[in-house]
Amino acid sequence: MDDRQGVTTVDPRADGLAGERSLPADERHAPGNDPGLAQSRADLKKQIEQKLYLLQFQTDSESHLVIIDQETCRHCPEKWCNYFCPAAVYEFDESSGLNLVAYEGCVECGTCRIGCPYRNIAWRYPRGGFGVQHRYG
Amino acid sequence: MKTNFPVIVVGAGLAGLAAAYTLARSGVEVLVLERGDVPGAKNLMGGVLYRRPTEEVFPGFAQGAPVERRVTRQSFWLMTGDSAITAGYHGGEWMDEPNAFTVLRARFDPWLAARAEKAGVRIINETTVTELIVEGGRVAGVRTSRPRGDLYADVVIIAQGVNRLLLEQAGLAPPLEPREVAVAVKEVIALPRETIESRFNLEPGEGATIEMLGQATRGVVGAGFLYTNLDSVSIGVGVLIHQLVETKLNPNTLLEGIKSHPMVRRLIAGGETKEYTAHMIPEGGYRSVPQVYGDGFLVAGDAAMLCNGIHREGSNLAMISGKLAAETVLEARAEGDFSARTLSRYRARLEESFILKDLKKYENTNEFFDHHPEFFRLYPALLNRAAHEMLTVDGVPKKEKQALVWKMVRRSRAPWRVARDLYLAWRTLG
Repeated sequence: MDDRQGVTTVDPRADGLAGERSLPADERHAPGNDPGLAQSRADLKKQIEQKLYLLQFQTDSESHLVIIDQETCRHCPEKWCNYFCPAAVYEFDESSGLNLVAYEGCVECGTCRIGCPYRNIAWRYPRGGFGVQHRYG
Repeated sequence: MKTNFPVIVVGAGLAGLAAAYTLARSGVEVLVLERGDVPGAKNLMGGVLYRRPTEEVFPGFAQGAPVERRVTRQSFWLMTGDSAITAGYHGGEWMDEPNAFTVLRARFDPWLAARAEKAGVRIINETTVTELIVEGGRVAGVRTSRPRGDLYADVVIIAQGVNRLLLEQAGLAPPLEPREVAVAVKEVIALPRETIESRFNLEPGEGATIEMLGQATRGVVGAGFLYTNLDSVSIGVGVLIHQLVETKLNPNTLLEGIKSHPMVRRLIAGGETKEYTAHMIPEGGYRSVPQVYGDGFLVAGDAAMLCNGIHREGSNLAMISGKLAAETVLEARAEGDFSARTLSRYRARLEESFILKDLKKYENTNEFFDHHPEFFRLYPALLNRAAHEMLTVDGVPKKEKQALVWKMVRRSRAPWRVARDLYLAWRTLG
């Protein structure tokens, strides 16, 4: 079987091509280390926010996304949900030590439900008629 | 309102509507529960709907349904940051005898739902099903978000989509794993139809699809796509969730990466983004398919992980599985038995159809690509570099160029490993 089996981290050299004529720099970088993808968290949030303005939401008074245990988030070394959520719903606030949930902008994909390694996010569908409403789909 | 129905369907997506429509056409009273304001409000896909399977469930749909374009050209781009090796098929015959349409689900699904209602299906919108009602070991009905919202049925067809919370809550399916689900984000970008037709080299009404591999997803295991609608294009990217977690990349960042690629940005230039959405795709394949039947219930579509990512098929698996579920229910009704014994014939039907045959064929694919990210990083880069070298006319003799290419390959990956990679890929996909 393949010797990479079980390897879960991305090897930054895995795509580093060698040769007399080497590749353009952007192909030598592994995902995540790609300078072409350099984007500050603030820029990312701003860009996503602008996209969320395009959507129609029927906002419920109560969140359908709940952090089960904030202590788990405080100890979470990487705060993965702060990165992978397509709607940038999660933001760990250093001053309060809380993982804040902007459920109003949730696009209801469910990635946080699957992606949180601690399964610390209780995800349910919004109540009937609430949440995002696609106009194109 | 009455609280007892012969059949309750959870979700007015393609699987649910196909099941409900098939049942109603046979005279069965069926209730569909949909959490959106209208069917389609919550539904999403890249945008390719295949004609024949749709026709099989909804005969003559193409005459009236609000589809976008007839897909006459399918392309594949193996990309680096600024180049691509492209391949594709232009099917002239697909204009007269369509194979697939592009659709926007928020427009298409309401039409399909209206047709189902005309056939007698009852759809209740704005109703989230919160749990299955299990009595005496069998699914007896559903609990909804409405007050006094318990509803009972002889059989419940669960077509609630990839977030199959009902199954997980009831212990009927395990929690989804980050390796078996992708998340895709998509933008609908408005452009004048003439602009689309000239940029994509299309006759009026013709459509094109482009699947993008390699640097399109910055080497993350996944793919980008660009589909033409009538007055807009759908552009998106889907990646496995565990890859997102490991790389700490945001899907929007990858989407912006694709949009700014030199070959892509000219196709969407001047367009206005109308919508940004996200949806998960069940990519786990055959081994991820949960128990699809039991006492009093059946599972169809994404909820049953019926999706063929390799061939970009999902909507057809959803509709046909919905139809097969409905046919099983018809048999069960004839025999007056809604136990797992009778409903197990649904699984047999899935096995006999293209649905599980195709998923079985590709059952090792997910794991294979997961362990061989070089197919998304190294090999696209190598192939592009090789093409660049061989096609650049610069006075270097061709033999020398070939030697350079070989040297590059050898230094990047040992030849025996390349040979083994290709052999394993052939074994997995062939």
